[in-house]
Amino acid sequence: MRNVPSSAGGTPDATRGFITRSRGAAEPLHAGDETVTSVLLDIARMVSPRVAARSRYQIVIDVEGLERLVGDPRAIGERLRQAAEDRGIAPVHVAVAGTCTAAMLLAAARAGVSVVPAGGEADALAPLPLRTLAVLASEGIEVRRQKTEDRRQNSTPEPRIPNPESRELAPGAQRLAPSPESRLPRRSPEESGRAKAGIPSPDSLAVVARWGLRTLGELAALPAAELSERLGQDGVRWQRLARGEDSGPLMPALVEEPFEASLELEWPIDGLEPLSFVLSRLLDPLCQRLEYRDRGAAVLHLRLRLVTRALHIRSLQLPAPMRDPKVLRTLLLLDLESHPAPAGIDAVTVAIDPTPGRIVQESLLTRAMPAPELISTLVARLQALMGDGRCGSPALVDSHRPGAFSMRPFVVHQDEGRRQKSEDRRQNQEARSQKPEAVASSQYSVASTRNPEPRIPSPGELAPSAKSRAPSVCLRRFRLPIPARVLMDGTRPISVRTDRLALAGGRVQAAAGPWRTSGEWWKTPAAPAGAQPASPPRRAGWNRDEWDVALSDGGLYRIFEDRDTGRWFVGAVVD
Amino acid sequence: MPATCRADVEALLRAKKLDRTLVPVTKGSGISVAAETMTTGLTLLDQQLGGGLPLGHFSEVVGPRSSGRTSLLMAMLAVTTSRGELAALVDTFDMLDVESMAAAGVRLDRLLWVRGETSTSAFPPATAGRRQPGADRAIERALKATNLVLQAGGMSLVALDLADAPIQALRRIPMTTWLRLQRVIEGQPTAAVVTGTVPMSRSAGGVTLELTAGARRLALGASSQNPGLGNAPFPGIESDVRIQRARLVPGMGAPVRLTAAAQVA
Repeated sequence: MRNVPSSAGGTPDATRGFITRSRGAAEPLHAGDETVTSVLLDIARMVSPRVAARSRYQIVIDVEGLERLVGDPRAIGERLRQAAEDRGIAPVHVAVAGTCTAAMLLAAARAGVSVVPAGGEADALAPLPLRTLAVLASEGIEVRRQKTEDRRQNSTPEPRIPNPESRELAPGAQRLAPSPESRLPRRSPEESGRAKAGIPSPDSLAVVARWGLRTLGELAALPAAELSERLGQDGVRWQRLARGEDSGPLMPALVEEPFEASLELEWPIDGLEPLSFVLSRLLDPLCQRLEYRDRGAAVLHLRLRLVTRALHIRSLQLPAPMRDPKVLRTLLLLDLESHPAPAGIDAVTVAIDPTPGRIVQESLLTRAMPAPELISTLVARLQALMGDGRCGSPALVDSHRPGAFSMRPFVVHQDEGRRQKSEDRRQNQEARSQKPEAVASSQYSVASTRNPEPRIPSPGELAPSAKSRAPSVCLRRFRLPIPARVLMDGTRPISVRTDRLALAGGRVQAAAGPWRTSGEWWKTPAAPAGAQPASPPRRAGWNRDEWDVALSDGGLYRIFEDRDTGRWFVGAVVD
Repeated sequence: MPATCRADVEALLRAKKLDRTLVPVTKGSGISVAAETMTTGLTLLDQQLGGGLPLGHFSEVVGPRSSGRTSLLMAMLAVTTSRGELAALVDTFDMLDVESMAAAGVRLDRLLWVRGETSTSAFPPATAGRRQPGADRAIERALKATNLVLQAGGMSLVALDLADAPIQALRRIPMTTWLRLQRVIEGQPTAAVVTGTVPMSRSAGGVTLELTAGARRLALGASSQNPGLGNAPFPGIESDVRIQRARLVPGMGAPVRLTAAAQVA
């Protein structure tokens, strides 16, 4: 039976080249596997810009229409093989066929250069052993896994251990039989990645092998309907691959485009105003390119070469992808206000780490959140005014230290409305589960009504958590507690005085306490620079007795006695 | 003749968009009561205010120390942030307690907290004299920060905390500063609140809420009169909230009781 490849992966007369490197044959010239991949990509891009990496050692090339430029398919294959030899990663397998799948299978099975004319893929693949298909089972998943690892270990310089499954035919093909883990009903991340890549499960391939089929031609000759009955869609997919049909179009990888622009200045500039014009000139085309590529800036780098030949480098981590040149310029200028260049500027370089653009789905029912560009600019302006670390979102910390908190960047989530809605729903469900009588009555009302009308919540119900919460007493803390003079009557304070004009103190009218609190006594802070070695170490912890007192001046205060020193302080005002 | 002159002046003010500021609200003035409001978190107070604090105006929460100004402000922030909206708090002397904010129900991740200088500038030693340049500087920065936040927009509630600012320093703020801030917020779907000791900055359509701490003393007195209550937990505070001034609110009712319970650790 002769099977003509369909046009799933392109036109029938389209030609695909496939190049793979035989890892076991020679010692690699480059140590890192990523380097081998990049060399393979470089070699592939010598003949065609449409190139896709299927795994670390497998590259697919669209060589259609290159006859007049490079030569016939065999000449193209020879050129690729020669280039790989010149770059020191030989030997490589090269195959040219009408579909990606056929080229990949041929390159995996045969050494050297293999060329199959368009339409003859099925015939060429028929004698290949069935285990050749394993190379497809490993590709795709590996690329996804590689991306995940890259994301996770973004800054880890360790070389990655190559996955044995991703090697060339022989080792991969020996793993045709499914591993015990793969028989588990629960889908592993690898399986889900394979499903997303359109690669069928190897379990069904192992079943086919147990049927006694040995070659791709035997699998391709099976009746598709009966194969589907026995193995499901996985079996049909394996059969299509055995015939050399593509499961999807070739997705060429884009060349990583550096988003960087520099400007050498004829005369050194000093100050932010002239620099603003230079930044505009650099950022405008950069942001235009970002827009063309549907990218946004994740990190903004500014390198200023000074007249002293020194470099003044600033990097801004942006909370959301941005490509508005005015916003980026403002952020850079505000940062330079806080961290100015120490000398005149000779050259300016702006580099952007790109990231996929932001997609925002606004809601008609909730108030639109302000754009991240607006918030970033606002926070940068506020930090320039108030100082670093004085602006952001407060956060609680896991500590019993009175008044402990931390600051986090103020980030606006664009899907805040949806998050709030789901949160409200969750809270309502929790509230219902805590009130069985209320649930029972609502069930009754639903059961007694044939077509219950949807209930429209009143505006007051939009904030159930806050509405149900009674106001609580708030403290106003003195970050530096104010020293106080406290008179005691036995164990209770009767008078509190300070030397501050606005906090004179007075007679104690009511008092509650004491509450003893201590902690972090085991910690010793680092000694400040220039401290004498003989000086006693400072304490990092706290050890105090706290009182809440109402004074005759009308105020309620939280005072405490430092138990280590015996000194009294006013720690907070109740308001 | 005087009526004609008055009509002309009001028409000119209306043309300059100053009618809300300078023209009294009467039946024939053509100025409508503010329709958009933001709840304060106290139902009775909202009813008296006709829905809550008016949007697009500066309102005030004033009262003496420990009268519950911060508790009321936190209740407003809690209501705003729990609706999924954003709020900003300009803390002039960096005095607010994060644990109290969280206990009051404020969603901290939706709050932009701008921390001013430390409280030392508001409470200088008596030896430093009456002149307090640190407080002046802190207030000036806080006003600039408030201006930036209001100009940026996007916040549902912007609060400026001047509760511990010395009165002398507040009196040195030029009136034009408040007018400028009021012009910035005009027409925005944002409510602005200033907390302080005395009324200082209410805009024409805003309200002034005054808190008195008389009832609070009773709450504490109950515990102080019991000698066996030495280690009893602090009961909390009670205050009366009264609408002192509200130009666009039709009527003012009885004071609303604010009961803020202490959080038990």
